[in-house]
Amino acid sequence: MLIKSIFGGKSEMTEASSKKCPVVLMTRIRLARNLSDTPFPGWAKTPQRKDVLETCLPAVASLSQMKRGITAEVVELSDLEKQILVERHLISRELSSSPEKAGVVISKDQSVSVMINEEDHLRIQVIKSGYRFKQAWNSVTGVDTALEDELDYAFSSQIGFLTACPTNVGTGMRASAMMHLPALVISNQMEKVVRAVNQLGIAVRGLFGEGSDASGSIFQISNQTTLGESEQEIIKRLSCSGEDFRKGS
Amino acid sequence: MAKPLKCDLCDESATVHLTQIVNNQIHKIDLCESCAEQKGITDPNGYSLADLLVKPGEESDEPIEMAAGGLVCDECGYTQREFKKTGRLGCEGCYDTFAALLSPALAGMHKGERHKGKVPARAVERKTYEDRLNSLEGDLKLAIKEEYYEDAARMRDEILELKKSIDQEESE
Repeated sequence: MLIKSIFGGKSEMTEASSKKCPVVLMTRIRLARNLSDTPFPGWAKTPQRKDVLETCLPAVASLSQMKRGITAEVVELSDLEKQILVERHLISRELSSSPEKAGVVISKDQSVSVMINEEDHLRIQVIKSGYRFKQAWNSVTGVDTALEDELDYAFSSQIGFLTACPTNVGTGMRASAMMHLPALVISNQMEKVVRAVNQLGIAVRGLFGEGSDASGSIFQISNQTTLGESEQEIIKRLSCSGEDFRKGS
Repeated sequence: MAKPLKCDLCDESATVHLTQIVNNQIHKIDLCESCAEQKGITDPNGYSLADLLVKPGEESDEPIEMAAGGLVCDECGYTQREFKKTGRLGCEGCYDTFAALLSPALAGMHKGERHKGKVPARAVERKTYEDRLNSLEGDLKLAIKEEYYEDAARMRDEILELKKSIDQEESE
């Protein structure tokens, strides 16, 4: 089994739990990045996807953050392995069903994962247990900066990082906090809360992101917009709403 | 007297004027009555230019074509129809190709229209080099045409230097 090494080892999600804030299970930040002069994965032909994978996979795997981690092409993974990685939020459903020339690199502690040829050429993600946006940002921007030394990103000074979907353009950042909110659900307050935070440009989704249901009263709150604000401003806005959720629950 | 506006689709005079203001930017589409009716623009209150331009999965694919005449990206061959269908773009060049469609849509879906976040140093440096190279190449052609040979020689040397720097950057 290709991903066996991550079972036995200590992982961010199980070892680094924080008792300070039991409501927030984990904090996650992902950055969408694309290479310059190459079509985005959804439109690229197989040889172009292959080039991207062959350029990115070694570049990502050689990062110091990925030392003793796992590097795999999606076709090498069994269905079970893919399911495990999806459950651990290390790859997306979209990547797991990707037909060809897609890959993933995961750090040893499973806090950093970089998907290649998902919706964008690179999806860099950092997971931190508990409520730790600042640490997650510091970590993800570190990986991003190190990669930028190796790869040429598609970037416009006017509208920022260019992404396959215009909803991600700009910072390319989606920051989210996963929260357990049973009291709000039982007291039928959740709908009201969701409506209120939507007004602030914040989305509330189920356990596995877009289109998933809120099994076990677990929700993700994340930023809806990515252009026109700095990463810090977005995180601050999200943190404020997160605080309100915590107080409300 | 001001010239009457023509329909964006045919040469008839336009009588339906769709205007939307997003973040103080005005976006307009002018249509004649029959084209407007054909495109189903009967209720301007419930009609958003941003929706018209990028909402994926809508049944009719006509409104997007009327706005910019069925564009195709030079760099990757991505079509406006494809964009309308998926809501996604084909390559970085599509952002220029479909700029007229994207601009009001981006303003509607985001907090602002300008990037205020992290800037990748290398991409910016490369862009600066490329912009300088393009401008020098234009100047060189002009200098040769106007017979300013000394200036042309200086520009040629600078272009060679720049190309060398770009190659060096790429090989590092």
